[in-house]
Amino acid sequence: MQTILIAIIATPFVGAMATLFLSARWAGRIAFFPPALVLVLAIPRWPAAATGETNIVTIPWFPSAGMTANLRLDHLGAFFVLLIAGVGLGIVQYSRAYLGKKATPRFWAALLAFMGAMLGLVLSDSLLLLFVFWELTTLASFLLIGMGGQIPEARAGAIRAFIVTGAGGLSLLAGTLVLGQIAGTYDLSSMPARAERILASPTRDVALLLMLGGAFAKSAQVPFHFWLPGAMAAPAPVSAYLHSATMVKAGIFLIGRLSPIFGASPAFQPLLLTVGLTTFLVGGWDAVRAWDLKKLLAHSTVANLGVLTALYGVYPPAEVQGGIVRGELLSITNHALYKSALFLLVGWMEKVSGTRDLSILKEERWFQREPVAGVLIGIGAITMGGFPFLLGFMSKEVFLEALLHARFPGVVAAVAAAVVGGAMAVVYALKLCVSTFWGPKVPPDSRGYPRAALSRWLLVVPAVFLLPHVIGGIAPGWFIGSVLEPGTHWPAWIAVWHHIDRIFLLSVSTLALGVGGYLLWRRYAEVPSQPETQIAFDRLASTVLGASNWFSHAAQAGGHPRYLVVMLVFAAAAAAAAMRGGSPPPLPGAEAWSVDLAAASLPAAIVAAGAVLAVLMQDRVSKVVLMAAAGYGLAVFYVLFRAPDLVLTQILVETISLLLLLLVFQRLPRLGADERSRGQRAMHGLFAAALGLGVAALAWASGIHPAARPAGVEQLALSLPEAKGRNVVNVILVDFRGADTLGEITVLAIAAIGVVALRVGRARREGA
Amino acid sequence: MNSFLLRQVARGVLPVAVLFAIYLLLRGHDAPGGGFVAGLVTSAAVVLHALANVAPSERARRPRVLGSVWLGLLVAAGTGLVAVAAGGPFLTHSHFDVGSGPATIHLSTTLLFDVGVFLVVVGSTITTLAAFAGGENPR
Repeated sequence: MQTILIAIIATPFVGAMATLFLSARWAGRIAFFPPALVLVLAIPRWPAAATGETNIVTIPWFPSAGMTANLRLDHLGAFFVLLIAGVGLGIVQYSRAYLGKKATPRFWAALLAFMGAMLGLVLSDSLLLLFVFWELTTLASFLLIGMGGQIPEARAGAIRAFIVTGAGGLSLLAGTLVLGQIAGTYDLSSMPARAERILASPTRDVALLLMLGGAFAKSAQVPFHFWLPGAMAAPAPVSAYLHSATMVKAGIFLIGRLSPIFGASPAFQPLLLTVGLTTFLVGGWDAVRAWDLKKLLAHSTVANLGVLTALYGVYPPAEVQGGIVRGELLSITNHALYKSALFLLVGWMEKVSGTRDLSILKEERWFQREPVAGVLIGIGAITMGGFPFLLGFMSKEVFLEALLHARFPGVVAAVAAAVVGGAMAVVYALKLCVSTFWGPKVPPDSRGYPRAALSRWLLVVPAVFLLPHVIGGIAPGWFIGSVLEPGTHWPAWIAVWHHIDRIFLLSVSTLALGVGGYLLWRRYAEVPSQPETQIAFDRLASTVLGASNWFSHAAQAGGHPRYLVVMLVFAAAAAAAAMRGGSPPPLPGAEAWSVDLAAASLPAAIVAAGAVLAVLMQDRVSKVVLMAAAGYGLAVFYVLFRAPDLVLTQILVETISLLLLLLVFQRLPRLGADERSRGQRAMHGLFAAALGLGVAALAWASGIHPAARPAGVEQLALSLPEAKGRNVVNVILVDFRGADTLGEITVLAIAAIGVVALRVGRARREGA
Repeated sequence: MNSFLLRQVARGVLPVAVLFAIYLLLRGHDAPGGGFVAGLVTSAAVVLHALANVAPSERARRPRVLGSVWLGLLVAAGTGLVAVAAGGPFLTHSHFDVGSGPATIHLSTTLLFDVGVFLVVVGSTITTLAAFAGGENPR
């Protein structure tokens, strides 16, 4: 099982790496394999997982810190794996046809990396691992929305989405840490057993709110819903995949994982229900008012995510089985498939008609020319509006049924919200299928691509996505009861239909209200000059950027001397603080540290001369050379103390930095006369003297007061038996503290990239 | 800097320095040395060489070694992942002894990790120095 789960997560990442080294054409072909392979690996696991088998794979990560990288395959996780890989397969095929030459290897790499991150997210049992993958999906989404960063709108949308979901990610991290501290573990599967302990903690609401903040931001819940429509600058397949089928469901997935832990908390359910239903209404209203077909779909996605969130707020915790509430998988499948199909079909219509602006399309009669797209969009819209005979109807019934059976104050308001939201769904569904296709005029030929130039896959892929709706519509009992949620009892098709009860009446009134609303929209709606929400979220994004600007100015005001002063004062203060803490009496053997004074006087003289002359000299080159001389003098001291590692490192670092400084200085203008005022000079001298004295005192103190329990003793003892190395310095670097070294070389790599970006990139731009 | 003497010295120093670096790298686990120091030795020699040999075009003189940074990170992280694949925690090293008696050679994944460190140090140091060693002066 371990191998299978790791293979499922690793395959797309390997594919992403491979595509980077291939031509665009081959990258597109290779991209097909990862999702296909994942499906082959995952489908055989589905029957067992769906009937309740849970596999947990234990992978130690940093055992000493209680951190694991455990993976888990259960019903919810397996469902998401199939969804991600299945939709992904279709999206890859569609992207090849849709993007053509615009699908660069970088695009494929980002798409596949996203797929891998998403699979990792839903298979993580460790919250820390989940967080890592969570952030990776945010990054991939940023790259895919921006698409190379040439289009200003795409760039703005990408930044906005990144700020919101990135902030959500930080909130999730904070929540993870708080929750981990309370629970004493980061493994999701061991938390439900400790739910009582978690709920008894005073900080449980902090943990809950922080984690839900992350989930809400990812799943575009009010008040974070505004980033999703902005992300629609991405090409159609990216919108379909990330922003309707998979990534935005990550928040729902997290809520599902949290519900067995926090279900009994008094804040959990009311919060989810309120936020979910508010999102349902806000998203619905925005979709009703939208004129851009893609924005319409985006707002309706927000509304639908609201329903998914609210579902967790309705059922009593006892009925939540393994993080899945009744009808949840049905609703997710339903939404993921029809919505991604609709995104893809709108992409097709945009290619064919040259626009996705409803104010233009509603005047034109597209159905005669595009009957296939018309029928497919019709099917998608019918299921979106919740009309009978398709899966969408079932999904809506389940929601209403849940609300009607729930017992909580304000249930009437919740039902009313569901009916109003449902009616708005009918309105925008009708807008999508009727207004796009049945206008009065014959469409002009001048816009869009000729049909012959477009690949058939652009229609085949969405048709395949819509297939389950038709199957589920014909045989819902079999589809839901045997395939999606085995073991639950679902009525056969006839049974849904035959009796007239409260749910049925509510459904009918929702439909009637929606149709009425649509007619009103047709009669009265006017094309606005600019949608209000757009202005609101642009303002928010600029506020966030403004705040970060202000912060960086506040933290980084002034030039180099000022930073130096700040750093030096801190260092001096730290040195003073270290000595204030009272030290143990000098060790009896302390004088053993002293070396032959006569031998030490030569390097001491070099160091002192170098330091004094460096201050007195007027030009930069002499200063650095003298400083290097002082550094070499220090190396002689290390020789005297028999520290060959330090000698080597000191000499080399001194040489390389001398070289670097000389190279940099050849580009700087000559030092002019000293422009500092007398007072400034005195201050700088004071700081320098304080630091020098502080460091000297610290060195002296640590020389005569060795620590009570030096860390070196243990490491010297362990070096040979544990790490098979005689050079303890190197053993610490590569073995005992290997993770630190890895972090350090990563910083080094980032610094090198920064140098290239700033220096070489600038030179190239100036040259061009 | 176009001087005959410097060019000859640099030509002689480069192979010796690289050999010395490899020696430092290999013995690092048991005696002074290691990936960091070896990387610095190599960088110093390469930069000396580059300074001495003024290439005809800017492009040829700017060594393109950023790839070695990536490779180094990959090697170092990959060494850690080998342990994970074998079921241990990240960055657990394994050791092998090849041969027997006095001819025993001790091999371990720590050396591989050190090679990663070496590559990153060489790549980033040379990249940084080369970025400023370009001929044209901004002002």
